[in-house]
Amino acid sequence: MYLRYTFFLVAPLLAQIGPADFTKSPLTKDPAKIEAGRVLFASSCSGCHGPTGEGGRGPNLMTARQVKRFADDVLFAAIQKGLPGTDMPPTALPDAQVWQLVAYVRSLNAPAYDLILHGDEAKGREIYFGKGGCNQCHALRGAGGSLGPDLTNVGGARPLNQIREALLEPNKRIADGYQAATVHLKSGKVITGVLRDYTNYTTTMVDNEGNLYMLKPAEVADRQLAKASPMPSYRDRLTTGEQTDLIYFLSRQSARREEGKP
Amino acid sequence: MKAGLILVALVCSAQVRYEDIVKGPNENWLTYAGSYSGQRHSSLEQITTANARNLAAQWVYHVPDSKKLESTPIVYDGVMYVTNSNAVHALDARTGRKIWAYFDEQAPGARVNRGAAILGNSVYVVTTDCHLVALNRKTGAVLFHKKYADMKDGYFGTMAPFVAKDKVIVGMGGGDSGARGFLAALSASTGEELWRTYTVPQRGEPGSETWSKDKTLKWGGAATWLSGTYDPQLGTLYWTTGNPWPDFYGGDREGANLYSASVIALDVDSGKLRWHYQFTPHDTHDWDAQSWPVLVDLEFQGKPRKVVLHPNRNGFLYMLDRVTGEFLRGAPMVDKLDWATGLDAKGKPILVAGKDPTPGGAKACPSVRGAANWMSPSYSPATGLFYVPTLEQCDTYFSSQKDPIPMKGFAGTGGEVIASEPGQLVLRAFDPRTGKRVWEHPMTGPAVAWAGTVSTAGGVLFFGDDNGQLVAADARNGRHLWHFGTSQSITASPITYMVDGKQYVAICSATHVYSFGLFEPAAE
Repeated sequence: MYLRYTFFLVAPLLAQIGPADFTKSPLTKDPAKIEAGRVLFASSCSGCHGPTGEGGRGPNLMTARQVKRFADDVLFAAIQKGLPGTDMPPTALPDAQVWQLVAYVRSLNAPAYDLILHGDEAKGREIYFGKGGCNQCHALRGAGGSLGPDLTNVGGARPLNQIREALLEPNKRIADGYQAATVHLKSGKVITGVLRDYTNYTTTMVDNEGNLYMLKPAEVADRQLAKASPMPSYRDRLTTGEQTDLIYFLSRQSARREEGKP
Repeated sequence: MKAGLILVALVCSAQVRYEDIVKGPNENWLTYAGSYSGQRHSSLEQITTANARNLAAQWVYHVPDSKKLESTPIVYDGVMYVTNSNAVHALDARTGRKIWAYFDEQAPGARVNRGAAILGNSVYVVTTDCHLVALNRKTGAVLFHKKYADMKDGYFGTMAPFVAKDKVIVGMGGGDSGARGFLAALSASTGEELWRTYTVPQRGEPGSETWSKDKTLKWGGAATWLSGTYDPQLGTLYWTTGNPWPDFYGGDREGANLYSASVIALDVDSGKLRWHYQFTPHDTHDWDAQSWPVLVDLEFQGKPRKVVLHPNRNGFLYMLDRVTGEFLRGAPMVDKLDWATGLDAKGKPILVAGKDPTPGGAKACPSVRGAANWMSPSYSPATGLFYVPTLEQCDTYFSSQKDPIPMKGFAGTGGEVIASEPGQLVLRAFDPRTGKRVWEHPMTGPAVAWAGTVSTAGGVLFFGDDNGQLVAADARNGRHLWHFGTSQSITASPITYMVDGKQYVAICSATHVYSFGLFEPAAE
């Protein structure tokens, strides 16, 4: 390839440093330990980080990039010893419980696909395409609607709590590019869809059939933005068991999952 | 009536057909090289040598998490698709506003990515770990995600995938650490593999006799990390291959080491090898052949010929018959070339002793970066000139006899820049009919750019220079017309496209995409 000499010069340095000293938590994917960590978190951490890690006096643990980038052992040390220069205090909890907290914090931003979860995937699929009607607005591997985000990799990319929140509290946050709107053109045409881009000078929309509209200001007569997400809440539409199965089905959606494999 | 026409143009409902790609660049830029021929010559002529001085930035888009963009954008129906590592950004090509962005969060690590491909309703990109991802071009939704090679075998992905007929052609990187090169065709609709051709034979197959030892033959390199070119009439793909492995020590691989440092011509439907031509037999300087095999029809010795023009890292500019692979002519394209005194009647280099790498270091020219590299040359049928970014530089080359262990970063050592002899980038215009230089544009700067060219029917040649500037020059004589500084090194090649009747020229800097068009004074 090219720039071989760059490697030639750098390689000895890498050899001196050696592989990164990286300790993985043995508990990260264990649902029982994650649950134990959640209970501990509620009593020890939620005062600053919020009841579900959404942040407050301390950072949002679901989204904070620096937390995502911490190796497990670094996260362990931060919880046990605190972070000097910040309000993060040390804890007297024994090691085993600190690891449970690591497991829980990891689960807040780990892709759902990486967690050990329980549910009935076949039933979840049935709800997705049937009672839930999810495919009317969302696509899986090219099939489905375009008003909602593509779900082909939702389990591979999104943490469990984000999937659950989107299902039960869709108005809490609307994904970037998915605000619903109706646009009247001066030509008389009306476009209903979601706004992929919306500024004083641009209106770019996708309708549910996946048509893309890149409109100029001079073409647009009126833009009406919906205040609520076009996604309904499934809190009352599905039973708790159905929600569990649907969330499980969604958590198994990974673009890298090979067909027929768990 | 006009408004109606504009609306129709803005509702993106058409699909990219194979026939559209065959036509070559016009309003759209549909494949990495703009056209299957690799000429990178656009039919657009709104920007001319007379008005290029009025070019102005129309928009800038920051590509998140980018450090050294090498992407050549694709443009279709007013939408630009630009890639970064494991990512595609779809932009309104008139405004630079984002329409959607795709990021594969599960792909490991970050590497350069050289661009996307497009066919039908799909945009294709490869991930760092060799998955071909197909995305809905209008929404960014994933259509399929297909693994075509395993990192455990030493492979990684950086190339722009290449659409030919109903296939997506993909290759691999990793040849510098030991990996068996291949090219594969996947179904554009499902990602299923249709054929795979290895660029290093197995023992017993033709060409394996050019490798003295199995331990290098099995991991012989000849990587396929750059996109290729294609002749639709002949149904032939032209692809260049990388160096043999280990790069800098040849003692464990005596012989020519086929099909490394070569151009291979493959039947697009079967992947069968039609012919090959090796530019640097038994390369020991890491002179991958990765530079365009540019397809041109011209007159040679009084007869019309279908040829391949190829500026090689080894310093020679080659012309081959693209039907048969016959060597027609080769000549030095740089002054700093000392490893061979010339090419014989078959194009084989006439070697100079003492130029192989040694444990103590041996000076040789060109440098390990090569006299040319993957940055794009272009050919203008209007001027008949071939524009090639060249590098005048020598290196000290070191070697090691250490037992080669694949996939451990071992390349048999490498080349070092000679601090007292700084390199210089020189854009050169060659007449392919004679092989002679017609004009040249020496660049100031630190010799770090990897910037290519695009030629236009407006007579303007655009190229990135070694000071991070996009430059417009008169394609006939190299006369400067306009330039714009990005304040970053440019490691990409420019393209040109048209939306709503306005011609744009776009290029990636290290972290941004810039698009330029003619300044339009506001109406009174």
